[in-house]
Amino acid sequence: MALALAAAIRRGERTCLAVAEEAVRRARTSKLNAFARVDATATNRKLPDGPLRGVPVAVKDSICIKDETPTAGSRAVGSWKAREDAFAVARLREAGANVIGSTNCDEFGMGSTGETCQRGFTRHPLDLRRAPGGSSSGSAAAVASSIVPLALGSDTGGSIRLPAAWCGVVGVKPTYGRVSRRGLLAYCSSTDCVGVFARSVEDAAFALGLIAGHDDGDATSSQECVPDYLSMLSIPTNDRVASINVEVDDDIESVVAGASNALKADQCDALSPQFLRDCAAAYHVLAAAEAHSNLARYHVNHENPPFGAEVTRRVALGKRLLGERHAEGLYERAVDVRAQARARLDDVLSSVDVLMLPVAPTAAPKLNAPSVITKEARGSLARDLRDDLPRDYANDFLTAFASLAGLPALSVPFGRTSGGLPVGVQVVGKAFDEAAVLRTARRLELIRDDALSSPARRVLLSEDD
Amino acid sequence: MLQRVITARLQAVLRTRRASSGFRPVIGIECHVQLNTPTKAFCRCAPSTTAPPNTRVCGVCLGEPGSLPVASTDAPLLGLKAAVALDCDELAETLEWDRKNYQYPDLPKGYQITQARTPLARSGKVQIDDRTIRITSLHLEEDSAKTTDVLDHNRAGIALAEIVTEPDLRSGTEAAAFVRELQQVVKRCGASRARLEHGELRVDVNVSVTQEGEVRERVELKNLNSLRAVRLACDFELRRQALLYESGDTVQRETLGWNGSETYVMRDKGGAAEYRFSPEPDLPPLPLTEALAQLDRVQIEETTPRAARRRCVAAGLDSETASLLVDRDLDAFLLEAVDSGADAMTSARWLLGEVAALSTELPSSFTPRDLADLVGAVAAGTLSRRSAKELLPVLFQEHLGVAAEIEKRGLARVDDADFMSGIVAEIIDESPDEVALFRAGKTKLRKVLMGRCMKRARGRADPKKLGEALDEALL
Repeated sequence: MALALAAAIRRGERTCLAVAEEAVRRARTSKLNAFARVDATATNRKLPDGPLRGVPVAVKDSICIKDETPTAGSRAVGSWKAREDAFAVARLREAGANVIGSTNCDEFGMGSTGETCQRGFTRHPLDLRRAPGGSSSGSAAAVASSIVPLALGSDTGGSIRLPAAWCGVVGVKPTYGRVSRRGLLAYCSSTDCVGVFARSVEDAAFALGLIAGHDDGDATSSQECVPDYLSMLSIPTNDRVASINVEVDDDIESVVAGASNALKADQCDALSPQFLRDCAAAYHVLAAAEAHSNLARYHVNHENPPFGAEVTRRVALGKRLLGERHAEGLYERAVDVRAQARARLDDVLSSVDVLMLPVAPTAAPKLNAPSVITKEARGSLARDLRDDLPRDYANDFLTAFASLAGLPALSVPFGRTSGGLPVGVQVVGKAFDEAAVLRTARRLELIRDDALSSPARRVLLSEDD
Repeated sequence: MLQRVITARLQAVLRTRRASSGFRPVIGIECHVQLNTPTKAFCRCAPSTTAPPNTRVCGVCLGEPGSLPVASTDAPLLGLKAAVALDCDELAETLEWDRKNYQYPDLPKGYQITQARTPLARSGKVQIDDRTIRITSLHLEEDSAKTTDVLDHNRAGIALAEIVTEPDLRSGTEAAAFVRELQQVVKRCGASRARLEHGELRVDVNVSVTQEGEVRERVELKNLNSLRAVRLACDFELRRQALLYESGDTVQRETLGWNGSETYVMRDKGGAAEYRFSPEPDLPPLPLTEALAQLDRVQIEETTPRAARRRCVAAGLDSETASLLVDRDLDAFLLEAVDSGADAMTSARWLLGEVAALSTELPSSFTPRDLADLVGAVAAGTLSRRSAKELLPVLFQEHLGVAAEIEKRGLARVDDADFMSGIVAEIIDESPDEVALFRAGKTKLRKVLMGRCMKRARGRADPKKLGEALDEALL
């Protein structure tokens, strides 16, 4: 774990060199295809004296590292090299973290399994035939397989929470504007968030505290002051928790119900499954529209940029939705759904502090899994957009609403399926109340660890544990 | 090709005949004005129209991956100034940005940041003589790269104000006058340097003709980079369209350029019509409360050319002279000279005449006080016009002041009777034949003798008094 490792280095029990060498070696030899690039110079780098001095970190390959090409899982970026570190990368480096390389991801973040990466897909650390989740696949897999204790990812509609849930690590998507997007290759600028993966809530809280804060270079970055998330984890509170009922696999449902019971959560009925799916549909409309605009720069030097099929599809969809299909009104309906989502969540979160729900309807699926067909209500946005949604659209059902509303959300591992695959619980909070979200996750983590050490309470977990 | 043929045929026709007056010209203008901000619109690069290509660029204005725009606060402030100077009734309370999504090599991001939903200002007007030209809107946007031999991104991201008029203009002359006035407005309020030759002010014109109220297809004339081009291109296009209709043809909607003698087809506008505007997610709406509070409307109104003309007229100029001075940016100079005691009309004539003939730009050594002293000396009779003209180039260099230079160069008029009679005596001495003939009755020779006296006096003598002295000597 990151903080424990940093402490061991400070105490002289480990050396930066040895730690870096091990991380680089493991990143290179891993069979997961988690890394797009491993930086050999990481082993002879002078690291500033900070709280994370010597801690190896990995960075999603859609986040800029000075003098490197952030491929974003695409060939379209070509050989362009970044002029400077992304804001979040610079913050981690200032704290002494050692950036050992960049991790594979779905192309420009457009995917939920890692399979749209043009550098090949990342494999699930517990089952090589399964998808680790996306789009921040490599970062989640690298942390889950302990190559690094900490990694940066980005979450646009669920791209941190989903792979965190499937790989069994903590993944935090902060409030929109909490972490600067400068240096993140844009996909859907109005929901893109840089966040962290860690193996514990404490590590995640600490890392988030480092990368959060105002940046003059990002006009959407917030001026809101950053609390000490780590110290706020242990403050006893009366956070009111409500859980949202959704249709998911039985294994998932029982794990989340366990979490819900443990926290004595109330029931929240204000957010129906159809509404959540409409949020996901709206997210896909807005994301396609913004992607078409954001990725246009790769057309300037290429008549037809070498985009993969999914990116090509989404960009073309965005172009049509703003262009010849504009009259269908789907874009405006998506904008409406976004406004409704914000209003409704504002309302719900005025009486509770955090919402709890699953991250995804299933645990990590086999690679190249068939698409999930859902029944959508007549007249719903999801139904009217049916033919334009991606194959793996069902994976966004439970995460997109928080992205649309810009709320902080995370996934914390809490139990396993009967097949032994990790299950994550999603916690969503009020804007800029990452502290409550992290605190709730910490409570779940303690309950889980307690259960792990006490055979009598294994009811929370699957028998494989 | 067809267009070429038509144009060639028309060229011949245009030389020989005028279009019938049944067609009413309809002209609207879109001006792009580079705002005089210390940085580009969305990055910290310093704008320059003269720096070597691609030396004023960064990741943001090059649209590099991971780069984000941050809006300068200077651009809206200058835009609002221009809007107030253009008499705009509606000023936006919130600054909102949009993306205009289209592909063009000069557009590094594949979209232009502009204002599509809510322009910075609406409903302004510009007065040209007794005609009011309505301003539809003023909105902010970023400039594109410039296509020369290389693609020069120095221009990419420079803050622009696009100013759009209603189709209120009726001739090429009026269109040019409007551009001239607009240039003065944005320059004088400090919004832009507005130099046409540097592309700081660029003019696109929409031209169509109507007949009996029927609206016809319009063409867009692009990149008219001088007032002359605006006037000639509009007039050419108006005649071309009228003649096309007269001969039973129709006008195509297209984008035309101007080559100095005729319009030509640049590109078809059909494909570019779909801009797929979308809100700019990287730039949250910004309340303009503070900027609006900072606006000093009275002070901005004082900067306008109409206020300048008012001041000139109040100082004693006729309105035509006032306009000429304002157009040439000489009004402040004149008013200062008037403050120093000079007569307004006389000073204006000097400024527009002799001074302008010497140089298009006033050197710093020539001050309003110098003009006032010069004009004053002439009015007081201490300096003849001729001497004054002689002195002017001296004043354009380092000099000692008008009085001292008159003294030093002995240019002052001399009233002294001895000086006059001395000159007269010299000339009479040197011209015995003429004097003899005059005395014999050839009175016309007085003129010759007078001329010689004047020449000898080098303009310093009052002709009347010198004449009197001559007459006395000849008696």
